[in-house]
Amino acid sequence: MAVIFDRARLGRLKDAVAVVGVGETDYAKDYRGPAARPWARARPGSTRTPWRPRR
Amino acid sequence: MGKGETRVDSYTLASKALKRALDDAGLKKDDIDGLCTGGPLSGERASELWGLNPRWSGGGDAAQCIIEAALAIDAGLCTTVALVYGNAQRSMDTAYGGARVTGGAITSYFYYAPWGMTSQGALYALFFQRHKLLYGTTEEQLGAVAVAFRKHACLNENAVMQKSLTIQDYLKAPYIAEPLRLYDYCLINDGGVAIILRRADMARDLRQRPIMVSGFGWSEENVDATQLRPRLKTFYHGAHRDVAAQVYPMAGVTPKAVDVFATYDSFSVHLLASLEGFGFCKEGEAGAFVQGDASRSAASCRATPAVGCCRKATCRAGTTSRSWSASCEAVWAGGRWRVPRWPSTSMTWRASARA
Repeated sequence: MAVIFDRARLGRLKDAVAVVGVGETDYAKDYRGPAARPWARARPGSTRTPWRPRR
Repeated sequence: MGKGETRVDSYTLASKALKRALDDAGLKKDDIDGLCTGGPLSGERASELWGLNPRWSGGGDAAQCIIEAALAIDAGLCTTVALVYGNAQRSMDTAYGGARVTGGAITSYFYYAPWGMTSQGALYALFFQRHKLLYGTTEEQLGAVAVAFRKHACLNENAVMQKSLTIQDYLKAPYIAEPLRLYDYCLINDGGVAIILRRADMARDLRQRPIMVSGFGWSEENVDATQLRPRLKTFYHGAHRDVAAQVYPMAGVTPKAVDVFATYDSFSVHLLASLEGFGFCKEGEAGAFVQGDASRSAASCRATPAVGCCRKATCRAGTTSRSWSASCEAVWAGGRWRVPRWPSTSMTWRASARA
């Protein structure tokens, strides 16, 4: 199937919007306690329970 | 949960990221008139919890939201959109696979469930196996991707995995679904990330220098999805090429001008397919392209395969959220990865179905 898009209309959006702020969670500050287990010791299977919807 | 780790929920993580993004921009939450949520978040619930009252809302995955928001802003539906993702999947002990995932129902992973596969890993093992057979790509070459991702992760102090990985470590690791090994898989992490996107003429005189969104593209490959054609037969290259045809001319660049290339990389093999599809190397040559050091390819372009975003690597929120933020972050500066405060050439794209 041929690619169909309007290059002119798409091109008009160049630089039309801008990222003005970014943020993310901080692992040490938000998530880890002082006695936390290093993640590097996590092993395959440490996430044991398959998610299932509640019935 | 690891000892000492705090049990969190997706909305809390997302709200922390949003607050930091607003602080970063020097904006208040009342300035937000559009909201895009990803992952398990409901926009309606998020607005209620966070005291937002957006005039427009959308949602989706990764770069999809950036494109949706740009279109909504251009249409005049809103001016300032918060793109927010949060996921407490590690805290919830989420598993992406297994016979009883999603209660045994064929739901989101419709495309491989009919074939008896119970995880994405099995599917992408076939993906790489076919690449090996067609092009002679080796497991050592794939290992170079994992090594590079870990190398990038070690440059990010906010990364989960901080210990470097060698190709020997990679090859000694067990197969999870042959030929994919342990380090070909991403982590299941908790975390949140937020981006504030604003109409360009309103983006000046804020706290940070705005990062212009110079190009984006969108393509879908849904024909024969359950036959696995887009994944196993074409490696998504059709969608990659469609998006490339949109994004490069729009931005006015070629692959050689791209400094940072961040792609969805729940499995290392995605990088090989993306490098080929987006023109950083020829089809079938990604193995050789990344061989040795995937972070500093010998090829002429300076594409940096991924940014250490997911893979055993950095952020708490796994691949999807990192794809969200990858379009505006992780530029090499002063020996560390950091969120850029200057225009750079990175790529935002949406191709194919989610993987």
